[in-house]
Amino acid sequence: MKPVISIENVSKKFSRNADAHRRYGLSDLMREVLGKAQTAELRTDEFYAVRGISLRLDQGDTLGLIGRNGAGKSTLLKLMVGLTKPDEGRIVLRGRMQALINLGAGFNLALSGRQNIYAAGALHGRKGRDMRALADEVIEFSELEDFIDSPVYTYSSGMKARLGFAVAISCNPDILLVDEVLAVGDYAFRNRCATRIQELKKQGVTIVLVSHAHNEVIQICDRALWVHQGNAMKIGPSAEVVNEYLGFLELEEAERLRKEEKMRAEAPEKTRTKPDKPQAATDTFDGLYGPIFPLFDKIENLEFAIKLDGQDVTQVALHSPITLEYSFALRQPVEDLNITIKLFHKDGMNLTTISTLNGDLVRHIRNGKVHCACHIADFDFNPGVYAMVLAVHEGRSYLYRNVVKFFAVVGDGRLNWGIRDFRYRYEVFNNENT
Amino acid sequence: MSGNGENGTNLRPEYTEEVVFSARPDALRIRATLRAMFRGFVRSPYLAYRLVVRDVKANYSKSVLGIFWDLADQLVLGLIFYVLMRNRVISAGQMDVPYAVFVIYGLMIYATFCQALMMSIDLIKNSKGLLNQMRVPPEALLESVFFRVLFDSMFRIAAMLLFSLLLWSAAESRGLHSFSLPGFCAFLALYPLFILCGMSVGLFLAPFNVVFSDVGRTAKLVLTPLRYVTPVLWPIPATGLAFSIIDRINPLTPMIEGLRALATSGSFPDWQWALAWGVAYAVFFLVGWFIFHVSVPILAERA
Repeated sequence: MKPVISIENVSKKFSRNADAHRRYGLSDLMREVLGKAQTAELRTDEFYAVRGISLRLDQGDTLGLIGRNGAGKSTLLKLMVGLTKPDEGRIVLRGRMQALINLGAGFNLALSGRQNIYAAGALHGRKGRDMRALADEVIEFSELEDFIDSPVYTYSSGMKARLGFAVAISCNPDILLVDEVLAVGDYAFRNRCATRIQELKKQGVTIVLVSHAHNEVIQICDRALWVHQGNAMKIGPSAEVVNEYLGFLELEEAERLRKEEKMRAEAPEKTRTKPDKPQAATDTFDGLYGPIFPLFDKIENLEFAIKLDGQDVTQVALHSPITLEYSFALRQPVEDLNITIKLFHKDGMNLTTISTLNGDLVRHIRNGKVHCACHIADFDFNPGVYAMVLAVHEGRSYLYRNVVKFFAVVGDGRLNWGIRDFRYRYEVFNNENT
Repeated sequence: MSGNGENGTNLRPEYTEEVVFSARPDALRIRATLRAMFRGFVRSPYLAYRLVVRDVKANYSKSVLGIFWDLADQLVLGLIFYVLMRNRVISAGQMDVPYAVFVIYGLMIYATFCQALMMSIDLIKNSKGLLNQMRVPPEALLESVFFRVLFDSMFRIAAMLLFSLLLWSAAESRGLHSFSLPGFCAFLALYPLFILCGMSVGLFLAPFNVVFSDVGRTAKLVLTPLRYVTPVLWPIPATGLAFSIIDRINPLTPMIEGLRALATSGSFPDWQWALAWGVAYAVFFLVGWFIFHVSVPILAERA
């Protein structure tokens, strides 16, 4: 049986320079009209957005396209839809294709939802006779009965997305190409969309899904293609590919942190601890990780390290035993000293706080050097990048509060969701074959 | 678009199609490309109709007078020239039709040509949002221009008919022509072909206008003075070498004069010359359509 989607060594070039990109368009058009093949060589400012990708999808296959922003996923999808012409190779589609690239495509905001259903339905290949049935179906699915005759410009972005998805999905495609559009709308509607896509999958519709929601890719897609800088890095079972991709991201992030740490270590001492001068690099964190008090007029010679087997590290494996060790000198006598270490996800979510208030650990220190170590037997936060904030208080006043460390947690090859990864023991009772 | 139906594979009983998007130039796959153009043309009328309905409704959603505003320019200009002519500020010379009829036909037919040309020139640019998000047959866009111009032309034709009928008896009494029923029916039949004449030039230039917006601006600039050397507001005098050359090479002259004479008197003067230009337009249209078809997937992302 012939494949439903066949991609054969497809490449696509773009120019980084907008003017050049348009000019190249004219020369490409001339070559096209005169019957000359496009050149494979890169012209000035050009790069390959997609390079030599081949794959085959049979009826009912589901493929997730994953990769970083700008990796070439959407370009590959647009090539499949036929919105742009490949510079090399060819794509063959067999069956009625439906693409969800922008859920509001073809909408005119001045018109009502109902009027837009007719126009968008026609754009999705529906004909006049079944338009009324389409409208009823779309209104029911989108749950916009009360607003369907209002102009679309009065809709929220979620309502527009619901309408757009409902129109596109009701057109009974053989091939469904979805580009990161399921992230809009409220949770209930996203769930309905996911359910509808699962139904289409069961009906044998071939689905290609571009998504950064890796759980979604694993749940919906049997296979995944990881695209990096236009190249196909890996194609295979979705969980396996997603895991390898996430591992790659973790290593990349850890490497970045290692470089930053190295640069910071090599920076002159005075730029790190100079009194009365904020650290420029940490100014941008103000707000994201709470208030920042970076001045060294109350403390000095601050050192902070995350230690694993005695070594200061910027990357730790999931479930590692780690030690948070810090030291500083008080520049003035302090009456009521407390120190808190706050752990944030890099996006700014406070995950936990360790305070010396619990146990009244350092309050007795009034001056001189403070040197402490906090031992964590099992660091079980999921793979990702984290920020450590150290706060030194006198009573309720900050003597110092700043981000002192970024570090990465890398996974152990298993899939991880959410914030923490408990150590657990699982029992399965109904495991008899029936 | 490079996607061209070739062999068929049945996946569902009601649907059979194989679409190929290839780096191979469409000009080297001329049969497949022509087939895709034809298929797009046959399949797109409903989509084109819906696009026009959507745009018309959106355009006039907040307007009471609606289409009147599109006619207002021509009616005001026609009125000005009528007043000037009536007061002998300018002279149109000897004519077979009342001046009011002459000028309203000239202005309305010329406006139709301009609209068809400019909408076609801007077609890829104006549709880039759609073309970058959905696979729309280029022919649907092309047909939507045709339908939109045809829709607006209905009001222009109504204005022309109104003037013809209002001045009919007065014209007859002065030995002039204002309306001929069989001629007007033939005029209605030929009118869509005239729209295609305007589109042919626009389609040819549309890809270039994507890359250099100067193309569209130049076309707009040229159309204004062209109105004064085309028998729109007055008959072009046959005296003088310059005027006779302009009169002969202007591709609009035989069309506008012929259509106006056909509607008012039932005759089509200089029809051989108009036919020759018509054939040239047809060739131009087909070449322009081909270039437009292959340019959409190359230029839409660059618009």
